[in-house]
Amino acid sequence: MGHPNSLRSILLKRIGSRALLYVILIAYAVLTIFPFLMSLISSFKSFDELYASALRLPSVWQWENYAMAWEAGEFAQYFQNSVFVTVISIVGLLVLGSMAAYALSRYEFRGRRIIQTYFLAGLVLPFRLAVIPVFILLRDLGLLDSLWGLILIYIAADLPFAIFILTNYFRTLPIEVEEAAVMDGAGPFRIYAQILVPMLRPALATVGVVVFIWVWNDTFVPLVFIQSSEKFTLMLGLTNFFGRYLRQWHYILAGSMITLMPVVICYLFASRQFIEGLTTGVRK
Amino acid sequence: MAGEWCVASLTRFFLGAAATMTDRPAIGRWADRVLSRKMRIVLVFLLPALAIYTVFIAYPYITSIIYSFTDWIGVGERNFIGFDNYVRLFTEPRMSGRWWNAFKHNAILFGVSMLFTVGLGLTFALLLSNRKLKGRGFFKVAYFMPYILPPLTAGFVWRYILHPRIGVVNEIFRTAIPWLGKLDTAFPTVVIVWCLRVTGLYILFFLASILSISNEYRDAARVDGCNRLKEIWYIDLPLLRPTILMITLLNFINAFGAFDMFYALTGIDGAPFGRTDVLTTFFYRTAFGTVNQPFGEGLGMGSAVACSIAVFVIAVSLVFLRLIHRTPVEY
Repeated sequence: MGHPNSLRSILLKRIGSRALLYVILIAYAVLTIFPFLMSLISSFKSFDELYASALRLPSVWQWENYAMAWEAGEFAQYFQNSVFVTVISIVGLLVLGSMAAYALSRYEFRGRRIIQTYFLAGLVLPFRLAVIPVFILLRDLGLLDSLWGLILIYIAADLPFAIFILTNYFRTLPIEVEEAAVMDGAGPFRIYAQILVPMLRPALATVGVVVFIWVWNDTFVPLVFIQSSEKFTLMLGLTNFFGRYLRQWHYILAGSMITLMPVVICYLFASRQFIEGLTTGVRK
Repeated sequence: MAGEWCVASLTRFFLGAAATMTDRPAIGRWADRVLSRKMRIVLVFLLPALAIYTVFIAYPYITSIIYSFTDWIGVGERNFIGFDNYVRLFTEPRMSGRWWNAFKHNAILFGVSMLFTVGLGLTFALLLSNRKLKGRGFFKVAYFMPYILPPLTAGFVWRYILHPRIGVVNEIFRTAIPWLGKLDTAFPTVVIVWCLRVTGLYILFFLASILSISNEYRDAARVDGCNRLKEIWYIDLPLLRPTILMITLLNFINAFGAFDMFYALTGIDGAPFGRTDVLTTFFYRTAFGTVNQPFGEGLGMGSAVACSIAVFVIAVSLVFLRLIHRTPVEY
């Protein structure tokens, strides 16, 4: 306490640098969220207000923009398609992926290594570059312009990732529980369904969340394989909508917000899983 | 004799015993392997995934290579024409010009985003790693947000923000610049928008590695008289080497696979005049065509473009993976 001035100046300096740190961090946070927040607000404006000024708040919040996109813009249909494709892809992927991971990590058999490498190779291959033969294949199978075609592709393309995450997680699980179950006479299918799947839950959540983002956000696959508008996913629908309502930005922004709402809501509820999952996942 | 092995194998098959097959003659072992209960279980669990992956990923990859040596347009006759597609792709000025133009854009995107990611990503990760920082969770959630949002939607959102007439950017600066439409601003703008999206991911990548560095090293450095900057230089950076390599690989794959955002921002043609064309949009046009050119260049040529990109991306990825595995973590 002998030098109150120096103590004060140290404190001030500390507080100053601390404040600067927060200012920088908040500034960047604002920069990342700002465009989306701006668009959210503008999506409630009328056409005239939108063209008058970007920075003013809407005088009347125009929910009609959303109604317009949802009904006339057929976003209701696109939304339904996207949900269908995403949900079935995730479920299919989790079932097939966990089954394969179970066989690969709990059984020792000839060719196990080769099969594992074969799957892992899919992590390095940029899938989009193989779409031409897939296109021909789906055409010959009669699955072109079908949501089931999309689902099959998504499951196949994301299997390497699912198997990679799940086999790694299997290795961390103790084998004793399964051994006890074998002693009790449980078959492999019961062990898989009743013991392993519940234990796998955290890894399944990671895979599910990542695949949700990949499938929901994807434009390329539906762009190549879907033609008729009643089968558009949200991303394809938004592109189409943009072309139809060029200049009508109040509608386009409302449509854009519809496409990202589910992602934002899920993210805010489970941000930890999203962050954890996506920092382990490498998108091809 | 054969009957005995058969019985033995069948017993094994039903009992699922596979551990004691060492002293059997070859035929017995073969029977054991083919028929063993274990193998059947493995197959039941593995086959669905194996089948769907083989049919929709592995087989298309191989056929892609085969198609690239043909003049097929998707229907009708398919003639083998050897390396003609590749020769045309890299010698015919119209094709090779576009290929290299798109490639250049991907390469610049990769280079600039590396500066962005290593610079901004590392800086913000270091700022966030401050042990006394409050609200780290909030910042993480906020920074990561752009990365999880659909890139296509983000593209449209930015198109609005950058709009020459009604966009916020032009309103704030009192300008009317068509950022995405002018020859000299289009590409830099797209690159910046793209970088803003991915930086969040890299910040969190770096942050996770920095937070996992043991405090022992830091305490030791403090005792030796290091300040925070020296600590970053001598402790964080060397230990972050594997992370930096990982991020470089990830960013490479992201930059050379970029599609959705470019598609939303400047369209499939890479407007204006191919100034924002990238390899994926070029590939799409070649294979599936556009409004002006409905059939593209045919599926044979499309496959040749796909293979040329794939070979490059895979080769570089493998080099990086090699480097990552070789990098020892010192200390």
